Amino acid sequence: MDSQELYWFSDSVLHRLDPRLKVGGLAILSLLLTLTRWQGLVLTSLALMGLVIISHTPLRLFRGMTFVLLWLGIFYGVAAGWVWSQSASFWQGHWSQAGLLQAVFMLWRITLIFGLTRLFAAVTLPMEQGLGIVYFFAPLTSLSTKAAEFALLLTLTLRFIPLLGEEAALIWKARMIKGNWPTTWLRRSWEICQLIVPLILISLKRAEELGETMLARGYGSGSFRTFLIHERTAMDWWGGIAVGLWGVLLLIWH
Amino acid sequence: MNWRKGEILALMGLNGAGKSTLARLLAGLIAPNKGEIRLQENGRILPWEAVERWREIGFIGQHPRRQTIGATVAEELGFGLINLGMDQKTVRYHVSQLTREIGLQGKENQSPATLSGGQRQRLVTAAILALQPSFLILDEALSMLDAKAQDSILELLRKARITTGQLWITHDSELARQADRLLVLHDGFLVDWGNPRDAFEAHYAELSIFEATQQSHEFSELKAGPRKEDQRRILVWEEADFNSRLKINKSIKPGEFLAIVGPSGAGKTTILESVYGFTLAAKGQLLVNGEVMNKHNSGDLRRKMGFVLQEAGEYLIGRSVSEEIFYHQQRTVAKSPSAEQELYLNRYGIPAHLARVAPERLSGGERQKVALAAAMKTLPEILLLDEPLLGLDAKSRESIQRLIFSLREITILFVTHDLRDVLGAADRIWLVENGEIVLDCLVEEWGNYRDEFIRSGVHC
Repeated sequence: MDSQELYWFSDSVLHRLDPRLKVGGLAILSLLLTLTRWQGLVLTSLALMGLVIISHTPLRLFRGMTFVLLWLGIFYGVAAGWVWSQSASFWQGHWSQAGLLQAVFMLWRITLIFGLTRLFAAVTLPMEQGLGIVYFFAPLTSLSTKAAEFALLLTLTLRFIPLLGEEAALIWKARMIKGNWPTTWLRRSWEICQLIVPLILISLKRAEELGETMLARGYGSGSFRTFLIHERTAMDWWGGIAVGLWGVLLLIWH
Repeated sequence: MNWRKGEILALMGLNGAGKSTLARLLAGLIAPNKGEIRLQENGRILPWEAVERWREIGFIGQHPRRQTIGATVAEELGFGLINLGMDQKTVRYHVSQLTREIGLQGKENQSPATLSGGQRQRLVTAAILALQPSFLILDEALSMLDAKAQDSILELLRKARITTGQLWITHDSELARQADRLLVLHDGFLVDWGNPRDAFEAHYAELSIFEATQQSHEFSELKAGPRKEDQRRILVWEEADFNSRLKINKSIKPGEFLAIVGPSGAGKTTILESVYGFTLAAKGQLLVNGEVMNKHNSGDLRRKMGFVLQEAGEYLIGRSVSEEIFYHQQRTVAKSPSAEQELYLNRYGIPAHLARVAPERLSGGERQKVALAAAMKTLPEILLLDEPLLGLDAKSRESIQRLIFSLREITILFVTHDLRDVLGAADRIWLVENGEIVLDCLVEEWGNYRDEFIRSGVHC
């Protein structure tokens, strides 16, 4: 098995990095990419290519972005590149070189953000993503218990989705075992709708079980704290310095 | 009833007797309508409401998959410790110790979903024991595990015995005999709470799973077996490879009763799913009645099969018992079942008054019977049974065994991790390990391979 949903199994440096660094790095760099000029975009493009090589992820993982980027390119091309004067109608307009250049830059930024996000998903397990995100909510818990609740909600959702997927598959099998699966799409849709009620019932049951398990381990409202066993290694420090430097350069070239 | 620290109590009773309700009352998940629960500590009596129950009572359920809350093994072990108020450094120290103790060292950052059922249950048990509860409830916590995994959990429990009172809710008479006292619950009332030996003498029929020897003798009379002169093969796997989860090159005769045993995660269920067409061979092929199974004809081939999923009672999708069994036969919900339907329900030990009851209101045994009745409705040629006796009391097990073993002219594939379930009725046994059939023997010869079965974690 090479991949599981968006994750690509490998043991590269990027795979082993602290998830907090990866989540934080992605958030900061994505934000700065919206500000930086062409120098920053060139630097990020080269860095992204380097990271793809280091992470041992195949280029075909990024193929899924092509279709979306194509449509976004057309949208931005038309939105920024096609101009018309105030007194004229839309179809009396013309292509603007400056507008097209602006669209190219916009598409470049978006491609880089998409590329970094896709790479992040390929080298970070969903659970680690959740823990990484939750970590950044941890300081907010001293301001409000709602932050702890939200962090817990986030991690529980990430844990609950695979369980629900398994339950849905079992309900689907239970239905297939009954036989007489309809041949028309309309009737099939109706059959699938009928499975929603048992799925909801079983989801509620599983949610209740999960709640009881948490109570049995002493969870009290607002008391959730993130726990990561990952101890910072030298690699994480170097990673942090690299992301910091990268961010500063993007900021300088804004 | 009373329960002391350091004492192991076993709790037995029929499905629906109230065992889980008692466990939930003790764990504080529900409150009693009458009466009270009290904790006596150093001569002081504390009302149950005033006690931090999660610190006093640990609760472990049946299903390993549904009890983990941590995103990683480390978080699973650390979740309760953090709630105890320990700082990160202390928690980290305890976690590294615990992972070493339960043999999960090096897997701290792995998701619990990547562990086997046995490892997961061991993880949950260790996470609860780390909170050092005074009492521990195990609600059929060992029933889904093979013998090896059970032994590893029992080892943890034995270590914790001095400091912890334990309540083992079980249908396994062998396990119950190891307790200090045996509580017998009948219709919501405790009818016995003494020595296990005395309790078994007084309530033998309700509590004991049929002894293997007696079972063999009784059920062999029911057994039909394959026709010896028949050389046809109803199922043939030709060098079939199911995405590396299962590699198989075997065949089965019509009317044969095949027992499939092996440890958890060995590939037993995949064999059944391959027959039903839920998973298709990536390499090689499976022939059903001489026809190669593929995605185009799997629907047609399935019509001659019945399948009872593992924990089938949990996945009943009909709005009533009647709708579950006679799915698609009833356009409108009749007020009462027809005479023919009533007869069919009776054959499977389901009283007619339950026909309009919603499946979630039935007991575990009743639900399992409903699932079996639904699978048999189409008179299959091949019946696939995935642990159909799991979680059932002795009486329900016996009645379902009788039902299954009396089926004639039907090819049966029966998956179990307890060989004793099928010894009296099976013709052949397959032992599955790591996705391969490592042993194929006639049931009469099973004694010659006893050591291999035991080594593999099969109860026998």
